[in-house]
Amino acid sequence: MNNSLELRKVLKKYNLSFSKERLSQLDEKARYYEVDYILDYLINELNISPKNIEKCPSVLYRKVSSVKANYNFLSQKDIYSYNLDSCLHILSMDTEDLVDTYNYVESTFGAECINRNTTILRIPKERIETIKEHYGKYLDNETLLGACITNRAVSEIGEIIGICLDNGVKITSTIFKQPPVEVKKIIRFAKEHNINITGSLFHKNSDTLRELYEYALENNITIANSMFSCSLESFKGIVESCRENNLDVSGVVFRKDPGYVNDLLEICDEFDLELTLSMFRTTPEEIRRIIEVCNRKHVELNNSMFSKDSHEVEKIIDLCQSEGIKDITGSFFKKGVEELKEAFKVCEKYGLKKEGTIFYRTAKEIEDIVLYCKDEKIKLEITMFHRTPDEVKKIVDMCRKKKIPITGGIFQRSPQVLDQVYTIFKRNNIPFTASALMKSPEEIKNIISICQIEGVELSGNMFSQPPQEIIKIIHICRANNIKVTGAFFQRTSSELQDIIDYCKGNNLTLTASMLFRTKDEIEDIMDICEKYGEDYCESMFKRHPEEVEEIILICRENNIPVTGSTFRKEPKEFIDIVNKCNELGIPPKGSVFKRTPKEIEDINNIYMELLHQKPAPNAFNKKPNEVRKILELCIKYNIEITGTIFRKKASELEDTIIFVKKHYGDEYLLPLVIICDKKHLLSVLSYLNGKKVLPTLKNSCGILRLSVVEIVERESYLNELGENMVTENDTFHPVFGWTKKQFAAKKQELEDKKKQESEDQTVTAKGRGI
Amino acid sequence: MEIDLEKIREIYGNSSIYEISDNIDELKANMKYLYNLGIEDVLNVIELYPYMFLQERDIFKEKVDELINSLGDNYLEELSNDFNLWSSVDE
Repeated sequence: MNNSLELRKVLKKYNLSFSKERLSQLDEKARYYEVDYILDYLINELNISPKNIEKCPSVLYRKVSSVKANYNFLSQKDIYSYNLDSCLHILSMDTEDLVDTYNYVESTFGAECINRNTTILRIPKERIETIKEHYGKYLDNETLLGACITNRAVSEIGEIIGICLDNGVKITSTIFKQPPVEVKKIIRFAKEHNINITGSLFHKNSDTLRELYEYALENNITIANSMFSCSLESFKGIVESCRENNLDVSGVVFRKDPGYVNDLLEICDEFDLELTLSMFRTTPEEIRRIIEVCNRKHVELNNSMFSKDSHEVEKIIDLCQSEGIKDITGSFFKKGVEELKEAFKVCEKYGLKKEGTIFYRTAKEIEDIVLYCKDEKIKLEITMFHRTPDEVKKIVDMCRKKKIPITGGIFQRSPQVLDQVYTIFKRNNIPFTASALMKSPEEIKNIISICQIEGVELSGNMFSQPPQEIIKIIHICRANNIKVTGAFFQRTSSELQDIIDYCKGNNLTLTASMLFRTKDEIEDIMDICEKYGEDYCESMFKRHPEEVEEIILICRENNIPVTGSTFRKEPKEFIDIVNKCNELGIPPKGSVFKRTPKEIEDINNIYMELLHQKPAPNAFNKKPNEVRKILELCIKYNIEITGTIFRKKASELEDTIIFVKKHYGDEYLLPLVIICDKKHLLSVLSYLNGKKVLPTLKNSCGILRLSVVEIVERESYLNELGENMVTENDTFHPVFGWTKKQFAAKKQELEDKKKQESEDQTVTAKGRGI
Repeated sequence: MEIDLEKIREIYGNSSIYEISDNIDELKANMKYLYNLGIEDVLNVIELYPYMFLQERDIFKEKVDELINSLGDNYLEELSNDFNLWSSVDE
């Protein structure tokens, strides 16, 4: 049995997904049958979230007996703050090592230390012993255990202690997050810029420290040590949140009592959290209580929880769990528990899924929005719940007045901002695109201006990039002789350059579909194709590399040729479609993968009902209601049902059928006629009718592939040859079936012949003295 | 690729361009098959029979093989003289 294949089945069973690298390690280190037992134990018995298992795949390398033994050992001990969900590493240890470490730490440092630093249990006893032996005299117990938990080698720990002692820096556990060379750089930077040297400076490396410092200076923010514990992105986010809420960044966040901020930082450190503005709305103690609730209830911590006290958080979690809601996201904590209950009732009344931004609104607001959409016959969009009912109405009115399509994206911004943005587009004579609403009006003006200066057409994708990136992307395209289209703005400039370089290095043509993926992902997909001996195709780039591999494996298992269509859906949907096709006796290939299993079944039923036969392969090009309309049209007007019919919409076909029937009669309702564009038919049929050759169309429709201009040109050619448009067999002359290239060659031949004849005549005349 | 998409749009309407882009993999694979058979004027054939190239590879291959077998060894010359022969491969 193929371990790799079976392992993937097991992972899918529990809804787990891993990167290619981790899957490769699992293939090597895990046995699929043990993984099945372990996942059953962790997820079904211990209620561990699959997401946390994805963060710690090493727990799957073990035998289930070992995992259970570790859990049972820990259960007997008095560890009240143990968070199983985030400490799966501990369960993945060898039981003997775990027991050794526990006993050593308990006897040397006390059980309380274990409660404060549960992660210490995954550290081998020997490491802790060695560090204590060498450096115990320089470090208090907390700091020593903190140092043990880091990745620093024992010698590095010694080096760092030496650097701190030389520079008169108090040694705290966060300092050991950085290697010695970084510790030196950070201390030097702090001294150069008169920054007080505390543990907060060592959360990030010296480069990030410098970036944060420069950003703070540029934005006139008073330097406070606590800011250096954030990533640059997180810090920018806090600054932006403060500005949006009219809060003074320094006052609210970074001028808090240092003890308060330090407590928050400690919590962040302990639980591996990012420091966010929402944490400043509550107290460190409350945060700890909320974390304890989340641990107990096996729910992922979310920033929105900090707007509530721990009792409210617990009640909301209980309510959600009693409703069978598995993914308890931040939106559930926007309102109080009683309001949430009412909102749930409204959701049930109108068949709405209890998830996402719906809960930004009260129960009454949700109902108002739903009823408004019903009355106005507008599709309910989830993004509408970002707005109040009044705002939704204003936006819809505006869209109707200004002829803006009503899509989900429109509701991202308030009516006032929508109006502003629309006006900017109108003033610049550019068609409005809802994706622009990702940016503020000022940013939009900037982007439009860049496009005008660079002479590039504005596209929706540009609004996912900052202005400098847009300029860089345009320049990269130009430098590489690539026409600038919207697809290129899906990636950052450096990602785009990587992809271009990769394509050049591997003699590949860069296509728009590749831009769905990063260069590494493209490379992985190419490797997968090589591994399985498959040609790559554009549609593969719609999927992640792991999905591509999975789909190829499924195709092989089910004897399905790997073509572009097989990558239209994710692996799970793909296999559902294959199963449905097998159930219905329909070949699982081609356009069938454009449809869902239910649609396939419906189309099958429609065919059986109307034609008493299995669906034609092309029928799956269209959704069931379209298929029905098309078939009914063909039946009604007695038109042969060919594959190409399903390339057109029913409304287009109907329009054309009615036109042809009205002006030329039923006899011209042929498949090759009705698939042509109505405007084209208007001119061609009229021309052919004028020439009195229209009836020949019934025998040969190929002439319809030419425009009137082309027909006239070829007719003129035939006249020069002295031949007719219609042959003796009552079909159109073969000239009307020639390609442009062929016709041009024949025409040139004729012209050359005429020129030669004319020259010959001139010579003869001269010879005769004429 | 220099297919005259405007010409195709003129004859078959806007939906034809969408169909081509939605089935680009099939188009490319089928084009490659014809080039491998020595047919040079593939782009012009697409302009006359765009939908033909959007069929699944195995179906397209089967129809093309049938056509070529019926024309014999001289298939290249036959096809270059009469493009109407391609209609048997069309959907």
